[in-house]
Formats: sequence, C-alpha cells, structure tokens
Amino acid sequence: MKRLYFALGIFVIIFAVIFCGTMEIEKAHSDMKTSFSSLQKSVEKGESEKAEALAEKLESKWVDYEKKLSLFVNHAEVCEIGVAVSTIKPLIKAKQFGDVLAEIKKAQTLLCHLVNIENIKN
Amino acid sequence: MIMTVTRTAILYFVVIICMRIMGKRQVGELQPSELVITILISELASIPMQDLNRPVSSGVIAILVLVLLELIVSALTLKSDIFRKIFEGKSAVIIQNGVIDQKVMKKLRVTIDDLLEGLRQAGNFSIEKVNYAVMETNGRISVQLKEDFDTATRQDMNIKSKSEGLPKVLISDGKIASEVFKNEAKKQLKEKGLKLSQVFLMTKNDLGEYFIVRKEK
Repeated sequence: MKRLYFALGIFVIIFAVIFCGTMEIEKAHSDMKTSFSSLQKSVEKGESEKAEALAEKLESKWVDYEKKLSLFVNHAEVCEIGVAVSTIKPLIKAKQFGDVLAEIKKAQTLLCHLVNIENIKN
Repeated sequence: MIMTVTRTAILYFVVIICMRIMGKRQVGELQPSELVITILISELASIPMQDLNRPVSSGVIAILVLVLLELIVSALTLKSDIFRKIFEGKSAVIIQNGVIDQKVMKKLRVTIDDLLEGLRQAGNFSIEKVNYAVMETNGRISVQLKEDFDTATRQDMNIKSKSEGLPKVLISDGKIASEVFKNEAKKQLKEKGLKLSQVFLMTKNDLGEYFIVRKEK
C-alpha cells in the first residue's frame, strides 16, 4: 500500500511538471507571437521609434520567459532565441530593417521549434 | 561549477530516494527488469549532472517515470503469473536427480564452466554430490545435495536444543544502547569488574547469556 502511495505521488509530480512546462511554453509562444507580429508591422511601416520601444519591451519580456522555460527545455535552444531577440534593438537603431525582419523570423522559427519539441503529435 | 555541484546534489538525493522507494536488493539479486532500471537511472542521472545545457527537470522526470514504471511492473508481477513470467522469467532446473540437463543448459546458454562456477559459489565443489541445481531468475544457482552428502540436522540426530533467539545489544561502543537495559548492563559490568567505557559490545541472548567484547586500548 505504501508503494501505491509513492506511485501516486510520483505520478502527480510528473503530471504537474509536464502540465506546468507545457502551459509555460504555450503561454510564452502565444505572447511572443503577438509581440513579434506587432514589432514586424511597425518595422515594415518604418516606424523606427515605435519599433525600438517594442523591441525593448520584447527583450525584457523574453528575459522573464527565458528563466522559466530553462526549467523545462534545453537551455541552448532558449538561449538561441534570446540572442536573436537581443540583436533586434541594435539593428533597429542602425536602421537595418531587412536584418531586423530576418532576426524576427529566426526567433519565431526557433520558438515554433521549441513548441514542436514538446508537442506529443510529433 | 556551482551549478554542477547543485545539480549533482539534487540528482544524488533524487536517485537515493528513488532507489529507496524501489526497495532493498543487492546488485547480484536484481531481477532483469530491476537491473535495467538501475542502469538506466544511473545513465539518466549522469547526463544533466555534466551537461549544463539540459534542465535538471528533464533528468528528474525521466528518473521518476522509470521509478513509476518499476512500481507498476512490480505490482503487476505480484498479482499476475503472466506478468511475472514476462518481466522476471522462470527458474530452470539444470541438474535433475543428479543428471545434467544439457538441453536446458544450451537453452540458457550456460557452459559447463559457468555451471561448475555456480555450484562452487553455492558451496559445492563436486558435481556428483548434487541432486538438484536450479538456475534462478537472477542468475544464481541454488543447489540441493544428494541425501548421502547433505548435512545432518539436529532433528536427524534427535538433539534437542533451545533457541538463542535474536541477541539484544546492551552496550555499543561504550554507550548503553537503550535506557531499558541500563540497570541490567550496569549490574553485569559490576559483576565483571568493567567500566562502561571499557566495553565495545555487550549482547544478551534469550538464554540469558552475555557476550562481551572489550575495547582495544
């Protein structure tokens, strides 16, 4: 009977960690996706000041997510997105909008990859 | 470096707790499924310890899943004969009525050297004395000797004896093991002319006999 309780306890821990991890990834994905698309729109319109502010907001948002996501997924993949996000603001300042769009696309792809790794359908 | 130390400490405690949950077994007594789990757990624990790119949770969760599976499998093997056969296998009789079953040996891929080694480990150096030899599921060989070579018991020789029971430790390393034995231990020390600090071990059996080991100077 004692072992049954241990088994139940372990099952609850596993389920809780998987649930929290999946929810956190999904939350980060949908939140970052919205931020990326609004940033992309302002870059495409050439609104550099607005884009700069959005990039700064995006970066600080990602720093928060990075800490949480590192508990559940490979640090290298999370770090790669962080690098892509951190290069956006300097590129906007340098008015290299083509490179900014490329970095946004790169970060979006990496984020999708992160979601796909944890997707049971794959 | 600090992260490596922290991760190692976390995984060490997780593995220890998991092994305790799985139960007490010596490595040589592990069933095939338990051996697989033990090897896998050691592998899984070592990866996040060394690779700082991997989250600790990936190692911990993998270990917990294995422990959960082990608990489920052990519960199933306890309840069902079919599961027991699948996960633990069946013991096989290698020597029956003093005759070696060479077909079984071939099936188990046991050489004559393996058999002789197993018999020696079971304390039998002469195969001709063996009546039955059984290869257990954990790979050990259990042996029953022929009646003529088997050890005579007290019952065979009609010797009546009283059981000594489980000896109780009264004094351990110069300290009284339990308050219950305090007066008894002190009385014995007085009778033997010993001080508490001079005694390394004092035990008492059910027949009321005391056994004393003095401390080395």
